[in-house]
Parts: sequence; structure tokens; C-alpha cells
Amino acid sequence: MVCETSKAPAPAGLRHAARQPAPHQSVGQVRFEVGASESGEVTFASQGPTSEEERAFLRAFARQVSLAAERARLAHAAESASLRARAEEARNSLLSAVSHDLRTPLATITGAGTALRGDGGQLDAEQRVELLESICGEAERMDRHIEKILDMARLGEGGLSPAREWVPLEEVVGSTLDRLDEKLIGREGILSLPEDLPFVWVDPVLLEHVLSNLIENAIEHAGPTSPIEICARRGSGGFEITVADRGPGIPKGAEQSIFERFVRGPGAPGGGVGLGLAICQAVANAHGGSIVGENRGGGGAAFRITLPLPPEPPTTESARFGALAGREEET
Amino acid sequence: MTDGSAPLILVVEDDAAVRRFLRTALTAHGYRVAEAESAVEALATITTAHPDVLLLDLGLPDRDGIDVTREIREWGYLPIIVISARGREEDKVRALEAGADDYLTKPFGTKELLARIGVALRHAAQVGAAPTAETIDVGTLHVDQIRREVSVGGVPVHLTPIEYKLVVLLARNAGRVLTHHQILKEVWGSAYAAERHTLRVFMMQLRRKLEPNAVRPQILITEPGVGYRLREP
Repeated sequence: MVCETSKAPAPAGLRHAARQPAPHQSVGQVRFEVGASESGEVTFASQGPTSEEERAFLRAFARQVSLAAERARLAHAAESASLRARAEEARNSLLSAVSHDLRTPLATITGAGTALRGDGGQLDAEQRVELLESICGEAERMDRHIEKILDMARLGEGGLSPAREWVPLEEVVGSTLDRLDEKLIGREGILSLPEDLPFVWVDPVLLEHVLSNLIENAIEHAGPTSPIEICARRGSGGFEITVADRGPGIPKGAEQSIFERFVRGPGAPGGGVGLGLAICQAVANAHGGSIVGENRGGGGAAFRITLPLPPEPPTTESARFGALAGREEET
Repeated sequence: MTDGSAPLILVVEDDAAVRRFLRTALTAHGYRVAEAESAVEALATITTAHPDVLLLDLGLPDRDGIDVTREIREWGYLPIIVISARGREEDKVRALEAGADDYLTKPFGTKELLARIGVALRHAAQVGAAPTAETIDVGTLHVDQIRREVSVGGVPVHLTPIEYKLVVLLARNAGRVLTHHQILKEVWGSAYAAERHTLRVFMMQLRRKLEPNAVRPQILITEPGVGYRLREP
């Protein structure tokens, strides 16, 4: 006896073509229901007439198929419901972040702006400067928030493929420090970049965003006197870049949750959006790497990004550089 | 503050609030200002008013700002500074390679805007002048084009021919961003226009020679994902 099952409505012609009974065979079908809305059937062919025992077996078989199909249908429905719930949750967090994190600086801008517009001579010079400073400062903060929200929106879908290039690590670190120049004034920075592995295989723009998020975090959380250390080396799991400070460190138990979207570390005085580390993680993942945050011996936090070493050894590429660079004589 | 001989800035921007802010800031700093709300109006104003610098928004109601940039470039040289809310690197590269002189992402401060206008005006004056000046001085950097010598803070620096070509190109365009592609084409030729890593290697070598600290460059600035700029002090 040969059986096949199909979920209805399957095209009749197809079913017919799939199993053409041989001569002297009898053909029969047992229908079954899947939930309230779907049904299927078991088609069978056997030599000679089917016995009552065989028909009972087929009915039992059809029931089992029906139950399995129903379980699969429910599991699928549950999964899409949870996906919808997660999307809904992400949308709500995004909306609350946008409304709170953009409205808060906007409140200061509006307040200070209207105070200046309505000033009939009550404000002294110092107060006017103060109001102007808060307008400019809060506008910058809003801009930073918008940039992070946009970064996250681009990265969040998981469809991001980094535009990788061979980049000197020193160039990425240099442009990051240049961008943060004003915020780093008067702060001790300790740089340790490897001499033997100057090139990394990364998306330079994304890596710069990661480094500046980590350095900004250190500036914000570690206090004005903490030095910031940037160190890169070849580790066992790949190429490692660490940004470390001597601040209060990561609160116990928060080592994982700080990477979630819209989760802020405690005591962030500037009031960030809670997206910086989530962006870092998304970028590290997009490069096939990872990021961890841990507390250091002697105090402070360290964030370490591990990126897989390049698919081909950098020396091959260096040879190409050499060839193109030409064997130039100095003038 | 303004007189008839002050440079004329044409602001091409469809947003009234941005136009107002630009008009106020620019006239306060001695510039004359003309305004256009669309590409059609902008092109008409260019032919009638002959502005010295164009501030161009990319999201115009009638045409894309990149197309407008290309069209203006076909006519001749007029400095174009793109002002746009599109802040992605590829947008900047597209605008610069279409012929824009500079790119400012909204929001930007007045100080930044005035600095870029200054660079654009100086560059326009050079384009009109003799093809190559004998020497170029930018901050501590000195380039003697007759002797083909470069020095930083009076200390001579020995450069390879390619390094020298790179420095000259960047110094002639001091203050302006040049894309990777533009630099490669100028220094190595069109065949090498995609060899960005080659350019990066040379920039790294050049920084080691010109900068006291190559990780904190003060002269050769990286514009991530876009290109390089020789910083004006």
C-alpha cells in the first residue's frame, strides 16, 4: 500500500499526475481537518480491495497528520505574534525615546528662545549669554540624539552589510579623536596601537561611530579626571580594540543589559538616548565580531570589540601596496 | 555693514526659516545676499546677478541639487557649497564629485559656515589667478614649487615624488575636502581611481613625515568615508 498526503486545496491535476495508480490497484482517499479552516487528504493505493483494518489504520494515520499540521500551524502563528509584539515593543521604545530625548532639549531651546524674545531689558548680559549657551548646547545634544536614532534605524533591521576596506587603524582612531577634539581637551589619553598590524578590514565609517560612542561614554560616565585608554592588539579570537576608563565601572549585573536598545547606564549626566552601546553591538555583529563590557582591576570600565582577522593575511595586501607604491626614490 | 563691492552669496533653499537665518548671519558679516527658492529661480539669478558663492540645498522642490551642481559646472567656475540635511557619506561624495566645492550638513553653526565661505572665495580667486603660484603656505606648511621643496615649521621634509604631488594637490585645495576618487585621479591617474587603500598608505606615510603625532593629525585631516582635507589653521 502506498500513501501520500496533501493539504487541500491542492490542484487536482497535480495530485493525479503525482500518483497514477497501476493496473489492479484500488485508490481511495481519507479526508482530515486541520484546525477549523483547513483540510487535507490522504490518498492511498493498494492491491485489491482495502480491508476494514487497513481503513482504520488510514483514519488513525490521517488523524496523526491532522494533529501534526495543527501543531505546526499554531507554532507559526505564535512566532509571528511574538515577532509582531517585538516589533511593536521596538516601535514603542523608539517613539518614547524620540518624544522624550528630542523634546527635552527642545524644551530648553524653546524656553530659552522665548525668554530672549520676550526680554524687555530684565535680563542682564550674563543671563543672556547663559540662555544662548543653553540653546546652542541643547541643539547639539538633539543633533547627537538624532544621529544615534538614525544609526540604529539603519543598523536595526539586521540587513546591514558593512562596506569593508583596508584601513589603517591609526586613521580611524585619528579621525575619531579629531571629531571629539573639543570634548577631550585637558584629558589624559593613552593610546596603544600595534606596529605589526596597522591595517584592519572594516567599514571605516561604522568603526568610527563605534569608537566615538565608546569614547563619549567614557567621557560621560568616568568623570572629568579619568584618563581614557585606547588599545588595539591581535588576540586569540581576532583583532581586539579596547576603550577603557578609570570611572565607577559597570554596575554589577548590568554587563549584558547595557547593550540593549534604550537602556541607559545609571548616572548618565548628559542624558543619552541609550542607543550608543546597542549601535556598537550591531556594528560589531555586522562585522562578524562581538563586544563585551567588563570592569577592570583597579577600577573603571573596559569595552572590548573583537573583530575576526581578515579573510586573507594583510601581508598579501601589503605586497600589493608596495607594488603600487612603486619603488620611489626620495627627492 | 554691506556695500556694493562685498561678495554676493546666492542662497538656494526652499525652507523659509533657513533662508532667514542665513540672510541674517551673512549680512551681519558683511556679505550681500540673494535668495532663490527653486532650481529654476537659482539658475536665472546666477545669470542675472553673478553671485560669488552659491549655498545650495539639495532637496529643492523642482530639481535635485546634484543635477543643478552638474549643470552649473558645465557653465564655468562658481564656488558651490552644498547645505543639506542628508548627512550620509555617500551623499557628500556624490555632491563633491558632481562638482560641489564643499558640503555642510544641517545643522551647522555660523562660524563653520563663514569659514567655508572664506575658503571658497579664496579658492575662486586662485582659480582666476596664475595657474601655479611659486609657493604655497598653509599654516606651518610651506611648499616651494620651483625647488619642489616642502617644509613644516621651517624644517625641510624629504618627500617621494608621489608624496610631493599629494601635498601640492591638498595644499592648493587647502580647507576643501577632496574625495578619495578625486585625489587618486589627480595623483595616480584614472586607472587607479578605485585604489583607495593605496591612497591610505600614502597618507599614513605622509602624516609620519609632516605631523608631530600621526594619530592626532593637525594638517592632514581624514573625512571618514569621504576623503581628505588639508586643514587651514
